[in-house]
Amino acid sequence: MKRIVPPLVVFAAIIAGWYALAYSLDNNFASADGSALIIPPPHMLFDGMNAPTWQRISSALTISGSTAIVGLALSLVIGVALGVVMSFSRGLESALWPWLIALQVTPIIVLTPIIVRVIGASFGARVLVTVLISFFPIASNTLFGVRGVSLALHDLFTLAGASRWRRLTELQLPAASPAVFAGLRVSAGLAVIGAIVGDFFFTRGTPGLGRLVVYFFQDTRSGPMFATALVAIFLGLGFFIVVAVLRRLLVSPWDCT
Amino acid sequence: MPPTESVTVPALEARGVSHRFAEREVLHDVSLTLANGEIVAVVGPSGCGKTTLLRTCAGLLAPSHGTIRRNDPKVGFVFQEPALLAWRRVGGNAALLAEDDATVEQLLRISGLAEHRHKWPYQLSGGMKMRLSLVRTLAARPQLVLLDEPFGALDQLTRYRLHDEFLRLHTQQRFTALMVTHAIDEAVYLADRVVVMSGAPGSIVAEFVVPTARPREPPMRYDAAFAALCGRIAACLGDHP
Repeated sequence: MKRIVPPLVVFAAIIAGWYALAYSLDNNFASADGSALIIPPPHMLFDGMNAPTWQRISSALTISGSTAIVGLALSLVIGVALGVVMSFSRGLESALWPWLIALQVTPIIVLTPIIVRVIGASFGARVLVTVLISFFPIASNTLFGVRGVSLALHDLFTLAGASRWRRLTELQLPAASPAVFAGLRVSAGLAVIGAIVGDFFFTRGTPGLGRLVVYFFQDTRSGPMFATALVAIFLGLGFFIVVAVLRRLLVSPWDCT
Repeated sequence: MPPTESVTVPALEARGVSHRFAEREVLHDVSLTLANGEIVAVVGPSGCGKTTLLRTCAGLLAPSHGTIRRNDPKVGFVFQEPALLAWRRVGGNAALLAEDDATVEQLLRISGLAEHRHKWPYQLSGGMKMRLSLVRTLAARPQLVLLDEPFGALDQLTRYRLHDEFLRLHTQQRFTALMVTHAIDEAVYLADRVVVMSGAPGSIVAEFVVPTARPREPPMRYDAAFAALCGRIAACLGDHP
């Protein structure tokens, strides 16, 4: 109960604030049919929605969702691989780390047009944008997780004559997995952001959630724009929940921290 | 044909071992021999190189000078911390280095951990974790076991209990053990010989033979001879800070 009530209280406050804002804006309901122009109050959120609009949002969700899923999966593979490779050699780490930081601090929105220009507005380009924005937390957390294995445990595997592969798979990666999951949780949110923000530049073909929300923004009806935003929020939430469930299944049973 | 000579190779022989970390010498000319099945305890002030000595004996560290010889390449090491794999259950940790399941089962039973085999390490008490660490080491059936203050972090009652368990396992497996400890009474209770090291750079300044025969029982701790020997070792440590 203690875990449920506080978020519900905040939710109620948000809804109340939403209503207050919607009804306090001048001209919010000045359209001929009385629908909201700027911010629809919660109960009118889906006014003006019809089957074709839902169909467009559904197609956009499929595009953005699949981009984020593939992008996050690749980020996991690339991030873990980079983290492991850097953990093997301080030289490699010092060679790669500044470039990874540079990539991380570069706003993805300035890289997206370059990517589209170079490789075209394909699904691969969408995925590349998503990977670029989301792999870093996994790579850095893997690096620190693998490096954080205690000397005693390393000694144990040395005395057992363990091969580098056995040391990696039976010691370093399991030991790093809580850190990898912490990175994955951040990356999951970033992957959805990457899939949606990158979509702004993909002007051809079926739009993703990013381009669709811009389209509805230019439209006079607010309902579809809010509905699209809500779907994007739920997409991000879905990613967060999937990662949390995976962590609960794979790491939480033994990691009491 | 030359006559065959029966030579007993010691389980561990360190000759003139010295070690430096950069400019700092931590071990100086240490020589030590352990016969098969013998338990030797090393006591000395903090920072005198006891752990470095163990690591060189294990082959984890190459000494700057001197030689280390073991009659069996397989070495068991019990660390100051239990060093358990958090993602493996008790049974999985016990079997990590083992060559056969029967030994693991037997050790789990003897150590009272069999009923906890499905627990995760974080669900164990400090004493149980250390016991599991010992079981994991012995499950590999090493001839030589090196122990680095294995009972140092435990309360006295648990320590005493583990001492007896350790001796029971020793009686059963007859391994050779070199143990580093801060506790003089622990050294005297468990070991056949107690070696005293001086402060840094560590070198051996005295050796005491513990005359009490095995098997040893807890009443030994309250023996006058036991107290006298502990007193002599403490005095020796005081003379070599």
